[in-house]
Amino acid sequence: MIPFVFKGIIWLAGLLLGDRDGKITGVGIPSVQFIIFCIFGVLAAKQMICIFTRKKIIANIALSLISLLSILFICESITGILLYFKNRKTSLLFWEGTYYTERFVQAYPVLGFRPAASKTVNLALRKGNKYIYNACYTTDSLRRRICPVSQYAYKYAIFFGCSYTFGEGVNNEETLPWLFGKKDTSFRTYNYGFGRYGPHQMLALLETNQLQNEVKGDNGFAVYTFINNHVNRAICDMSTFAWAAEGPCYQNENRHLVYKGSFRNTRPWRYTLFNILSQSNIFNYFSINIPFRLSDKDFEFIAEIILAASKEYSRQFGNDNFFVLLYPGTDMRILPFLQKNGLKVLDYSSLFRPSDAVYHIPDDVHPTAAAYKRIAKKLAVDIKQKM
Amino acid sequence: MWLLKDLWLFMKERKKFWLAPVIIVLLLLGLLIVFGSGSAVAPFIYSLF
Repeated sequence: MIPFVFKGIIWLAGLLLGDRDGKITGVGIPSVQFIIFCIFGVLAAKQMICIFTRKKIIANIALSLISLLSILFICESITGILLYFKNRKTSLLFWEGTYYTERFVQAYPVLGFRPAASKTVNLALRKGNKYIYNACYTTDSLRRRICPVSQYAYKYAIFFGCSYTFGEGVNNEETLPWLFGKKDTSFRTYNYGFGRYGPHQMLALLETNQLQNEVKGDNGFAVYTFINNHVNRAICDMSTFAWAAEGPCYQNENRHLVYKGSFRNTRPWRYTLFNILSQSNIFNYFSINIPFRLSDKDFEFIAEIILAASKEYSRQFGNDNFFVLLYPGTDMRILPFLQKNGLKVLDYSSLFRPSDAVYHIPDDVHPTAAAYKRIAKKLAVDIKQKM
Repeated sequence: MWLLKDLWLFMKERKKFWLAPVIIVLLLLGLLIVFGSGSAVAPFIYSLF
């Protein structure tokens, strides 16, 4: 009788507060019913345990477990409702375009994923009915985003990095490699960046591809653009594992970085744990990550990966013109480890404030063309001095 | 600490030891929220595959 009364109350609330779709504040009525039935189930189970189990200790253990599960369930449900309200702003954001319908992103061993070859797609970000951006992405036959080709170019400039290098949210002619190539036409630029990549993908790319066969030019340089989130990706923490788990996992063995496979296959228990915990409303509402904080050891590890990549670059290209560009707003904990490893650093961490509206796309973390223009201008000057 | 001591005495007196795992887990959850809250920086919003 009582569960039916509760069912009636919930239905009435839905009628008054909802749009009769069976949901109140994003929580399905069946879910609420399930919670209530669970509570009654606990009480009924307790009575049955006491009646049918003579040994009190077993009854106590069973009751303890049932109470624990019920409390966790209630906490999860409450935070689920709170999360619904918290996420209402970002739930208005939609990505759409031929980027998805034409499968621009393709699974690939070692790297985890890579862009399609010789493809032109569009990716739009919409907030409600308003478009924030609608960008065109074009790749060449070697899956690099296209860059300008100048008849005066006799040197190469290789750009490694993530979506900041690739240029997510901006058109082909607004990316950092493109703008640098336009600024200094003696360089032929190559964009090896891609969304979600980190230093470990850069190292894997260098180890598995003979880039000197893909790049034209007698002399040149390579630059890797570092942002804070690269540390999270390279260690595959809980905040990034959903899309970083297929990436390459490197481990230190006798002071040498060894590729062990994907994170998913190398650390299956960690992957399973993250898979479970990342679905927890409590973890999502309170933005709890594992590990809680990045340690100096994590930054040191990233610096080792970058060092390995620079050595591989030097081996393939016969020069040591490998630079690490610290994007504005970078966590400076990485700097001492880069310097300790003898890496050449272009410290642009204070060049501008990335939170300024002119330098980042609204409702998105990615830079605008104005940000890339500013960096390309400074990079052109610095490279001339350092090379 | 006095609260925990009180709880322990209550459980001992009333023989409600089955409450112990519940209290421990809730305490751990509280600690997790206090120390771990906000450790996942603003989600790197990427267009999904």
